[in-house]
Amino acid sequence: MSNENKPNNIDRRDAMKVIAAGSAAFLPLSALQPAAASAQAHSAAANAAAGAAWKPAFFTEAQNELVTTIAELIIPETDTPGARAVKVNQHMDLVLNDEIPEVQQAFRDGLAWIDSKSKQLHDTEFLELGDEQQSAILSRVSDSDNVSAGDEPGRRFFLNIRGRTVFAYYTSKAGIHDELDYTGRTPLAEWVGCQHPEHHDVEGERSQA
Amino acid sequence: MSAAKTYDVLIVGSGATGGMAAKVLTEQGLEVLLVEAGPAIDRSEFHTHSMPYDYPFRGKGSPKKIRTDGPQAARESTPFPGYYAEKSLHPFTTPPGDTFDWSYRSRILGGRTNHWGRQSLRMAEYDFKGETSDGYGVDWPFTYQDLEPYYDKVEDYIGVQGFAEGLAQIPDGHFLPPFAYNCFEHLMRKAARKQGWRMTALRTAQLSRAHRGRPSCHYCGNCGTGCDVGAFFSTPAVTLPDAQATGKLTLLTDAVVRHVLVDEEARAKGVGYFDRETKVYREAFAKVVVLAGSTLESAQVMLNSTSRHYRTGLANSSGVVGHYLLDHLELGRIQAVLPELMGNEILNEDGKSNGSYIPRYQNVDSRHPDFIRGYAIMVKGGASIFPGHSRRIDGFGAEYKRRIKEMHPAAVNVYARGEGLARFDSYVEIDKKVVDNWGIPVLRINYKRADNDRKMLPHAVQSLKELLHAAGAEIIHEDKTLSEPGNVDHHTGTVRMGHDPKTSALNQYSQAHDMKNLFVIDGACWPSSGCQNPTLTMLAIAWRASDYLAEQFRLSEV
Repeated sequence: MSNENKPNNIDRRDAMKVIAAGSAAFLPLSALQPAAASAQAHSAAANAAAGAAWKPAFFTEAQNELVTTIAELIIPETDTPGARAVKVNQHMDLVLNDEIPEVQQAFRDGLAWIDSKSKQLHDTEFLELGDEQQSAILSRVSDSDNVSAGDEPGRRFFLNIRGRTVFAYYTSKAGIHDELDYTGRTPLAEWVGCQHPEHHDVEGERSQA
Repeated sequence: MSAAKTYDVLIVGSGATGGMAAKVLTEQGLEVLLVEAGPAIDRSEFHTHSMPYDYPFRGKGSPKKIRTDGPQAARESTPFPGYYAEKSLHPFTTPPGDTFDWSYRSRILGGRTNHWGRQSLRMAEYDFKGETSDGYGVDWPFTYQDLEPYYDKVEDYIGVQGFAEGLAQIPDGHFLPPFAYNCFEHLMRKAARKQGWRMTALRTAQLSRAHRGRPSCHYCGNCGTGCDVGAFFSTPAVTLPDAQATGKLTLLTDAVVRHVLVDEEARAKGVGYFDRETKVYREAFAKVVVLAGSTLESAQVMLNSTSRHYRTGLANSSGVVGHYLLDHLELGRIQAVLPELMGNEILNEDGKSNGSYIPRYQNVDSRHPDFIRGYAIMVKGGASIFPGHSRRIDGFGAEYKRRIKEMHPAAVNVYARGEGLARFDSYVEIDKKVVDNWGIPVLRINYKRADNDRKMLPHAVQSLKELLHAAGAEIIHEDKTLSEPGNVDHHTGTVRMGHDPKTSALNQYSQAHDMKNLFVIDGACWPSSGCQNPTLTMLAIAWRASDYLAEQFRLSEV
């Protein structure tokens, strides 16, 4: 497509007198291209397929399991994949590992709050609970109008992990294409706009005519 | 480039205005050196059609990179260094307790034209006559009628799609056929009319059909990553190829300008710059110097250009250089959903990559008791790549997931964009204690809000809510604040033009009162800002100033 408008295309090799002030005007672009990023992702996927197990860098194994479980409670598998299947825990681990200590600690404290609430209510850890009991704990902090004062730390953590789950899920292939049926970022021949006569602003169109 | 060569004109900065000057001046036969701080680019390397999952951090960048280089520069979808200037290399300061958002700054061939919002609105007649209209500030040294032929020429040249509306606030221009409205836009247009307001599609410099050798937009919707076919206006896609076709243009990239060089007669003679990579200092020479490196960068270069002749900064006998810094205000942001669209089929709606606009209606026909000037309303919405409403509703689980999807095609987001007032005490200065990656003293930005800004805010928020109520929308999030200073990235002012050399630095053609062979043609020359997105007006001003420069050059008057 880039050749269709060749007359206007910038070709720095022959069309222009370009002087780069430096001898090395360009950084190695290949390192920055999406192809390279994809290749990285693909090789990670290949490793996983080959049995090279992914290991968390930030979470402990126990925290990883807890995060994975909570994330699946937030975005469960329905007729489309859930958070566990798209590995949102791996993305959270990648991001949190790069965060400042305060952010990291807040997340760890939040996970600890989940377990302490579980012990307080059921005398056992969150992962030992059944689905309904797990959901009941999240429900204590999931409704903005209905959180008891003592559960405020849990409320903050719920929004924290839900935000990270949602980001990781809806930026994944499954989230974008399977769940939300997103069809953008592809070339279209024309822009048709709204095709629903009942939406149309008929009076407005008349006033424009 | 021969070190001794003296060009006719040296332009600092290859963004919207620098590129325009390069085109206009070379086409009139002048030998031009266009100096760009950042690297050259090749748009075939843009990541235009990439997806978040193509990147380890889903395009957002790592937290560490965001901390060191800023949220824009950290983006993984921008293939060239300086596409957004890295904060670590390009620091600036603010007074303790203040902030200023300069994260959209660019150091790359074409500057911000590579990722700009493309909105192309004319300013109104009254926008050039602030003092006459309401007694505040100054009138511009030229009128709308003076600029009108240049608006026409710019629109014809760059290609702007939109509807003619016959509104005084955003005068009609020469438009390409408009992009069709999305569902939410039809519904919001009806709501706006109930309020007595006219909503129109945002006029954008995106091609709705092939134009002057460039292809039509292909509606992929990812404009901010750079267009791989040049279907929206940018320097590298439009003005630069035309300038190069003349054979009169020399492009110098990777040259970070520190200051303007001045000769014994107190005239500009070129610039001193650092090689971006090696940091070696070099000089380039010309008979005329044009500053077009963006509002803040032009002020920085002038304030760093001190010499025996110009002890307080270049061409600054007025003392206004650095002052009257402007940015547009963002007044409230409200997210909502339109019940009529809930659960509808999810359509490809972000392909045209822009929404609609309700032009300013305050202080147009009548005088508001609480504030002067006014704001316009931006209306965005429809299914986009990320469901932002997911953060604004309660719940979790299958029902939460279902609601996110149900609301996705129904999303509508509105916000107001207002005019900030020019104030002498809103200014930039050189911070002598801090230097950038090249050892250049950086700006200290002292941006002050006016009381008028705060008085406009509740009115704007109320208007946003009324609009949504008229549409029957369900509001899911209200942010009733003014955005962070600088955040709208419509920085103008700091080297304002005017008739009086005592109160302005430039004449109506952007020529310095103090030295005939210095021009400042970017947003820095603006005395006031209106509330319309500024680039179209910047291009018109740059074309007009360049025509004048070329004429004066032929007459040996510069």
